[in-house]
Amino acid sequence: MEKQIKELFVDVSELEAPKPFEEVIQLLKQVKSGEYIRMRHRKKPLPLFQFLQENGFDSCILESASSGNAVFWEIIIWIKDDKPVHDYCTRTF
Amino acid sequence: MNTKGLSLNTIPPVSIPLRFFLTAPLFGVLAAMMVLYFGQDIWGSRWQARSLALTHLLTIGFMLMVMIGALYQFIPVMIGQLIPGGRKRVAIVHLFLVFGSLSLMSAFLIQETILFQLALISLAVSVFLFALSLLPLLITQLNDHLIVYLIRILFCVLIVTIGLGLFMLLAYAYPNLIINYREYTDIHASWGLIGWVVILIMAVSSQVIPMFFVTPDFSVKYLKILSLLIVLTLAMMSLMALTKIDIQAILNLLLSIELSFFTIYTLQLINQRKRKIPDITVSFWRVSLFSLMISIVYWWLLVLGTNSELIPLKWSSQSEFTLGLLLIYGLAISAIIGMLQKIVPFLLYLNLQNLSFKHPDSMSAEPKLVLNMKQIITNQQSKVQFVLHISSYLLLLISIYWVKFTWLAGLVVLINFSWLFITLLRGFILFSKKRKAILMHPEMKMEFTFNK
Ligand code: HEM
Repeated sequence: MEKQIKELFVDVSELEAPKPFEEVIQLLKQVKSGEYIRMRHRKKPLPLFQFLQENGFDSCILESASSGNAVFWEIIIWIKDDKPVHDYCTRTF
Repeated sequence: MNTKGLSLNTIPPVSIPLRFFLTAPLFGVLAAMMVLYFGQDIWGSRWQARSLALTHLLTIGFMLMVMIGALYQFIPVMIGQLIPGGRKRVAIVHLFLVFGSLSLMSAFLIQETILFQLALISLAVSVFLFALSLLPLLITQLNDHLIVYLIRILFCVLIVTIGLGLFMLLAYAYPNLIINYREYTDIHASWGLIGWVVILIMAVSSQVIPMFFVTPDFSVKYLKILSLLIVLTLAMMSLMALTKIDIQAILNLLLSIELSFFTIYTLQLINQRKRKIPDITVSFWRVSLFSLMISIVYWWLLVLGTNSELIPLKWSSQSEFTLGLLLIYGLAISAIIGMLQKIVPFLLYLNLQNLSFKHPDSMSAEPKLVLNMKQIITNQQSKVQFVLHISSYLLLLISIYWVKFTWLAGLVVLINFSWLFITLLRGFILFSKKRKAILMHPEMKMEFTFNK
């Protein structure tokens, strides 16, 4: 089962606001069951989390490699009702 | 971090911050009209009532007005909660601030006690209500978000500035109280112009510059220490001034170092922009920071010049006006106009985007109903704004020395603030049209699982 789980990756860490938001919205419109999104960002974008909460997504956020002063975040997003992906993500991240 | 269980509220209704942003430029227009009306007599002495009126049209009517609006917008985006109090309270804060600023201006101009009393009451109500709304967030938000920390400091600085302002106003409003207020004027002015303006710019820069210009983040540690140091230095200076103990020179030096550090640090961060897309709004920030740098140098030249024949500069009305302009029009207003060019389109964009998800059919409409930021305020409009701002700034400085330019300066200031008002208003009108169009589509929950 889990082999089929696919990651969609997007790096928005070098984009100015609100491009990161726009990019991930594009991906959210495409994401299918069996898929999750991994987004690399330099901020914890609260408006995005609000949007995810209100639209049936689940997410978690991890601190990813930081270089010098810069901290990067990885935001994992999946469709809440997609049980296998949900289980996979909660276990893995 | 898990965001589950936490109900986020990050996007304030447009009308809340926007009413402040749309009113503020009108006070700039009023200030310009005052310059036009008084002509070269505006540059008499800083103690003349008309200069006090002009100062506060800009510091309260424009700067404080935008700051309150910006906090209503920033705080939710940064901490996920609206400033409590609801719409009614926002309306009261706004109305009393407008009314208070207008009464204060007329009071200074007409010198009517009743107007001073009205100004005192309305400004006190407005600021007190706003502070009351903000306070619970500042106390309970225990996370160490930089912006929360800086707003706490800003809050204390504003209490001192406005507290002293209101106290002095009490002297004007009730002359028989015989309050000796003049010894507080400089303290009030330096807490306002250095403490409040600089820390406000720090707070705004730390959020806006990395977000919109993709620079490295500000060091949280630097800004926390720096803002605290600035406040402590100002506090020491005020105590020394009141007790007449003289270590002023050391404190001045300390303050200059702190301010220069912030300026150079921020300019250097701006230079490290990752994607150097041409963006005129960056220039507003540069002008603001350079103005601070020039004020520091100019101030030292004045201090040294007064004690030495080698430097020709001496304290005079003209030099005081120059410093005031560098700090108010150069440092504060440049950064504020630059900031508005970004945060207003961002606010309108987020609202449209959010609304369009609730009316998903609207997403396929052509032309697109969700405007992007550059459609709300175009590059061309920002460029015009920059040219107007810089020319009005230079003309104002020139007119202090060549007073026949005052009229022209006033005219360009008038155009500068009118342009700001018109571009913001146009953005809002565009937004309202699109919003209406989106609302024509049925509301439903977006089915993101449709691809299953
Ligand atoms: C509710 C808010 C405020 C009130 C009631 C107020 C009131 C006053 C009063 C009554 C004076 C005149 C003192 C005198 O005659 O000696 C004054 C001076 C001054 N205030 Fe305010 N003020 C307020 C806010 C601010 C803010 C926010 C700033 C700056 C950011 C500011 C900057 C100044 C400056 C620079 C002066 C000196 C002006 C000059 O020397 O020409 N004020 N204020």
